[in-house]
Amino acid sequence: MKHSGKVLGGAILALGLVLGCVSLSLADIQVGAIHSLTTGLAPLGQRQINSAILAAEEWNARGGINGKKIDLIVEDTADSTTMAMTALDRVLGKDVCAILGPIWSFQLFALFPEVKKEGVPLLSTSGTRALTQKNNPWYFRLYPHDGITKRAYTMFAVQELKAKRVAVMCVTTEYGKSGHELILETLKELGLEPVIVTWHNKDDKDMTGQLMSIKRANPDVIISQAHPADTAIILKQQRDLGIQVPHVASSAATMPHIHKLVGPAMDGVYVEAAALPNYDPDPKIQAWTKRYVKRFKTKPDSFAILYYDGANFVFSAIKAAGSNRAKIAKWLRENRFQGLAGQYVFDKEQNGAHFAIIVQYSWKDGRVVPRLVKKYDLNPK
Amino acid sequence: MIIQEIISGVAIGCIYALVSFGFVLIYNAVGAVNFAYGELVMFGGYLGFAASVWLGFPLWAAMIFSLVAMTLLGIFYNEFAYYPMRHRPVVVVIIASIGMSVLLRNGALAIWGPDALKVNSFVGDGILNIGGVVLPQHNVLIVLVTAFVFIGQYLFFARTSIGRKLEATAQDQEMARLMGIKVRWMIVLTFVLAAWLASIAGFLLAPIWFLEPDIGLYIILKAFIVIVIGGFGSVPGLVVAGLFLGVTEVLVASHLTSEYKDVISFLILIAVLMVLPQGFFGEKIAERL
Repeated sequence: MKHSGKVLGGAILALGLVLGCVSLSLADIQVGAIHSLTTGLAPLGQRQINSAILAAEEWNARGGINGKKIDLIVEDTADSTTMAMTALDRVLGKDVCAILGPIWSFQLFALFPEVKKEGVPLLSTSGTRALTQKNNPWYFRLYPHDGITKRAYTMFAVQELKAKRVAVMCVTTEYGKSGHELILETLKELGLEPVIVTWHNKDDKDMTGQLMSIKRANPDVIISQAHPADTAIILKQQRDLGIQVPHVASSAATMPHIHKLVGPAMDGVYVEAAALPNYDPDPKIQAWTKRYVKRFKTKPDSFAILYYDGANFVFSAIKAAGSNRAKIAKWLRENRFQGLAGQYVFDKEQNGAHFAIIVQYSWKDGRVVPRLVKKYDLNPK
Repeated sequence: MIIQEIISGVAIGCIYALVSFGFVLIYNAVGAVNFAYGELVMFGGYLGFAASVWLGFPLWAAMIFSLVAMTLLGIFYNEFAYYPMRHRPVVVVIIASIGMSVLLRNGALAIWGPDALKVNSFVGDGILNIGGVVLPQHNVLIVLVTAFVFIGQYLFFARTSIGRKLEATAQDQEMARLMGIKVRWMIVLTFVLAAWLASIAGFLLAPIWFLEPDIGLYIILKAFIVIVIGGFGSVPGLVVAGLFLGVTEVLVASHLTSEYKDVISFLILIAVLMVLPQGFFGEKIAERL
């Protein structure tokens, strides 16, 4: 009996080990998704997490990755670096092989040291130029940075609107100054100098002086690089002062709350953006937007569609390279991915999105209606 | 073109004068420097937004709503941030006003969020074109309301019994008390009048400057400049200094430099103070501080 007991014990142990191995080999693939799900930053964060959930559900419906299900570990970064660090610790505790991160650069900068220490790929849709200039080999940007979008809208003003006399309006923040350099650099490449450059403070409430000096310079287009509230004031006052010149504005002018402030003065304004999921005529984007709205009962924004592409890019990397973090990062660096919004390929700084779109708004029946007028792919490879 | 710039500067200057007036009203009445006045203006606008957009009130009803709510806020301000501290050193009153400013700013952020919001104008977004000079209808309204407020305040303080009582309280509270004036009520009334002015200013600037939780800081900075160069405490000085600042800013940005417009504007203001140390109208600043 003693012998048979040992045999039984051994058999149970062996079975346990085998089952353990089986369960290990069939374990889900853990991918982290951390973003602002609460606080005032939630509207943007929730939409992007929705995209990651949708992508994971679609992969799982197709059988997962090589027979394994994707287990998306979602954590809230709220509106602070402390919460972002906590969220990172939580997903790292689940041994994730990659992380879809928040858009906020202040949170991303705080996450970088631990992400580097842990050696885990972190992807996000932030546009802040400096993020990919910090020598962090684990950070991958999925959104076109200003070097792409400023180039695209300056090219649009010159090549499509046939502008010869360009006026440039910039805000005196870091965003405005780096945008100013990029606009002037692109104009120079195109053989032009601006006829006038004006500056304003982020909090300025009156742009009459700047706009009147622009009027005197007699430009045939105005390019502006500004934050949301000053963008609204510029556009509204341009109309109030009767300056009938096409205006090509930075992405703040795509925000719905800016349209409410500007109203009829949005008519005819061109704006740069990365994507326009709700109005893009591309049938694939339309179909995706429908799926998104059906699943989450809310409309996606341009960041959401790029986040969805990013999730699919990283799932493809896991499919090809396995769940080893270093191999996933290497695969991401060496491969390109055709997403819904465009093609992604990481450059030396690990900027993956090199495309931009130009949207023109019109004022119809008391509301602002966008129309996609041009797509740019400024892929370096 | 210069006429266009001057006219636009006048409209901006009227707003500067209007937002400075509530600040000066409190300063003249009780000697308190109220650094939360910009936030009171912001709240006046935000309450108009809440009534007109959230509650769907017509603008005139939203204006009344804002005035009533601001009455309560004025009383609250007096009861919690001024009256209990009135015999303490002046720095305590200033710190209390800064505390109230932070409270109101964060309150606005929590209630209305960080995005800029707009209240529609009573006269719409139309533009008048007079001989090639364009003039938004709302700017005409700003000039008219400012003129009405300043003429109204003159008549109120000079021709009405309650106005004279307020002025007597401002000049010497002890003497006013001996004359049978209910000083405490006069102080409450001062804060309520300042809150009404804030409500009117908030309604006027919201359609063109838009409302953001931080706008109060911008308002108080401009108001303080206007008050200093106008002559600390001088009401006619506010109007002249407000218009001077508004027109100067537009002309500097248009003809000299937009990048350093604030620097140049400040240098001009310093130059004015060097020539006229007491400001356009009023006492030497050193004597008031």
